[in-house]
Amino acid sequence: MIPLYTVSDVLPPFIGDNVTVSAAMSPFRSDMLAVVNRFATSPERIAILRGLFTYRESLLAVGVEQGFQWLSGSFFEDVEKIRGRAPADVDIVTFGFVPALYGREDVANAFIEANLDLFTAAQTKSNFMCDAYFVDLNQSPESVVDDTRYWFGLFSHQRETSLWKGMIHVALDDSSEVDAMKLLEARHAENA
Amino acid sequence: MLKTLELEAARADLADVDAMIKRRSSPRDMLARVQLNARRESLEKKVQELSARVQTAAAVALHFGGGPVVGSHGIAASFSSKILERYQHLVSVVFAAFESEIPLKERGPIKGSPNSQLLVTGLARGSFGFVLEEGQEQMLVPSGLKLAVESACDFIQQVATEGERGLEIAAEGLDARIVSALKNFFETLKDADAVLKVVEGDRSYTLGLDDVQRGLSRASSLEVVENDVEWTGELFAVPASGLFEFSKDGNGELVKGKMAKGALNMLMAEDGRLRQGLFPGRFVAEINQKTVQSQQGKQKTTYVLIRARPTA
Repeated sequence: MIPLYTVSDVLPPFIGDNVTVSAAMSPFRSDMLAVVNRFATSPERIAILRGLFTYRESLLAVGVEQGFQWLSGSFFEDVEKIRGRAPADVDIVTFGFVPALYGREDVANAFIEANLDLFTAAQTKSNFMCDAYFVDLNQSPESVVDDTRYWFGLFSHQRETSLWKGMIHVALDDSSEVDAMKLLEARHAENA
Repeated sequence: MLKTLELEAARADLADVDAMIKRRSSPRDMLARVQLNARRESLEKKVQELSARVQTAAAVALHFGGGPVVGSHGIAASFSSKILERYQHLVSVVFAAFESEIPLKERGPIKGSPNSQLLVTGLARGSFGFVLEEGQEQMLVPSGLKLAVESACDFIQQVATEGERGLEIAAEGLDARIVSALKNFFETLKDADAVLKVVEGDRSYTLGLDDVQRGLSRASSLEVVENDVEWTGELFAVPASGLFEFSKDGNGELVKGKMAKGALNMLMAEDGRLRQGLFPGRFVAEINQKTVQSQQGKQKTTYVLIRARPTA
């Protein structure tokens, strides 16, 4: 479920008056069909969502089958109203298991080198319109917590103003994905 | 967004990423290192770009603490509206003084007031703060409003800070209206037992309760006497710096100061040099003479050349 924007035109950090109810806290659990339905509202946004789907498929192709993503950034703000322009990309943190990394070190190195286009933000931005970061869930628990702390801190609020904003949680293995892509293509055809 | 706040945020982020990279020494952290190193590179570039950026549009953050602030929860609404109004008025008066060809008189509407309007563009939390910015995009050169905000912040600091040097510097630019606006600003802070932190350009300063009291006392006791005089004598002008020297007939007294725009236009040719045939020469000069007197009896007199015509 994706809440409405706040008066600051961003997703809220929580909804309702009981912050201990997890369903009411950011990151808000949702699915790709709801994301497309709510945010595929202009040619620019449709293009970014198409990039997001391609990025997800690419991760799956290299063996990242389990995990989830936090979606954030100006894509999930009314940036057209706040800044008078469309979003340029979507911010993503993927939490996933990458099987290839847990064999020999040389195999892991080769895997990363071969797939830098999926794991460096400059390339994911260029190729998929996704400012994307990856948290490997097979790291030590301390490292996972450290990464989560950093990315959550970065994407959950504006540092300059301390404005808190919400994020959306979607599974990598999302049963609504096929329907979501169909809806996206329908929106693309309408906007073409 | 205010450059200083953006820069502080970027540097804090960079420090965090550096610390994370140091913690990731295990072979299993390889992917994390690749990403964090890329992130560090991106942040270093951002810090460099921000550091080099010249802020040409007006932007200032006013942080308040003390009486009217409740932790980081909120700030008294009546104080907020009043202090922002006082600050805006101060900026408008300084802006008008810059824009006028001659110094402002004590009464009358403030010229260019709509052009001096600042927007509240955000809240800066911590001690409760407001970010005020100019309503237009960055330009190639600093805007008039940017210069006015810079000067207004200079005046606040110079009048409130301990020591006489700041006050002496401020006196050169003060006029009666600016002094009145400063007094009202400090009075509003004092009445609310408020303290203030100003972040503007690359500088920031804090005024505690003692500084606010000092600012109010000084602004209340500063006396500004202005009058326009007409003298005959020898004029020496340096258009490039906008400065002049004038040796009065009779006692040969030498006065120095800045030239108003009208005087500059009159004396300067299109190539920026002095008009030919005028210098050296004798002139009848209309000069604004302003004396700022502090409560300790110290006086500072400044002169502005308003216009000059060669003697017959």
